[in-house]
Amino acid sequence: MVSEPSLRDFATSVVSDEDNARGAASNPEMLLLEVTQRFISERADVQPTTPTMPAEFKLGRLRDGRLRVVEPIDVRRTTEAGQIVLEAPEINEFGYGDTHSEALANLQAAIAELYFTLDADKERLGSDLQAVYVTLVRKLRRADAPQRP
Amino acid sequence: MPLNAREFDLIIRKFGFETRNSRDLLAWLEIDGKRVVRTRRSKKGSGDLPMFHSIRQQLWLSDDELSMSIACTLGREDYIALLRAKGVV
Repeated sequence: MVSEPSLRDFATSVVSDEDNARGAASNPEMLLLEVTQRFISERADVQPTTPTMPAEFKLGRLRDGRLRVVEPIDVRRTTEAGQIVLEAPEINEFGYGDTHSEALANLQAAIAELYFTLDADKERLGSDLQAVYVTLVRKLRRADAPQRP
Repeated sequence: MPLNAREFDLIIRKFGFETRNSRDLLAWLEIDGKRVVRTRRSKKGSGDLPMFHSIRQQLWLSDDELSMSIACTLGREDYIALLRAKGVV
């Protein structure tokens, strides 16, 4: 089993001849702090990375008081024509916007509208829309529906 | 291929979709008394629709079939036959 290098070993591995000359090796912890500060100052011009939104995630709420999400909805994020597009492939629905937040709100509204549109015509849906409706019924619950025991 | 709002409106009008104005323009197709296809487009802007790929999927059209729809070489009856062949109707 290979033992992990100690802090002393790591610090002494980055010590320069100049550091040695001023006796830095005798205090590796302080040396590590100096080397770290030196590293940061040398890279002050490096732009911090911006967090990237996930390419896939699960949607857990719709921001519509009439509906609750009881089974998360899979969402995929892409970019088309300079806009953010969020797709929910299980129900073949999408949202779009200039920002992720805008696209998310658009998708949430679209899913809610789709649910109520299909629900209103649930007795006369074609096979594809019937399958979409069944998926929505499984994943969503009306806020005024009785709670399951 | 990209799709703009004018082309979207051309297709759904030609195929006999019903429409409703909401936050977006909603469109759905009824065949034999059943709602079989639904789609929507943004009402903002006049350029290419950002979700044309998703719209194409909702319409059950391939890239070539979408091109033919815009070029008016795929009519309503052809579209309905295509939906039947794909098991949508």
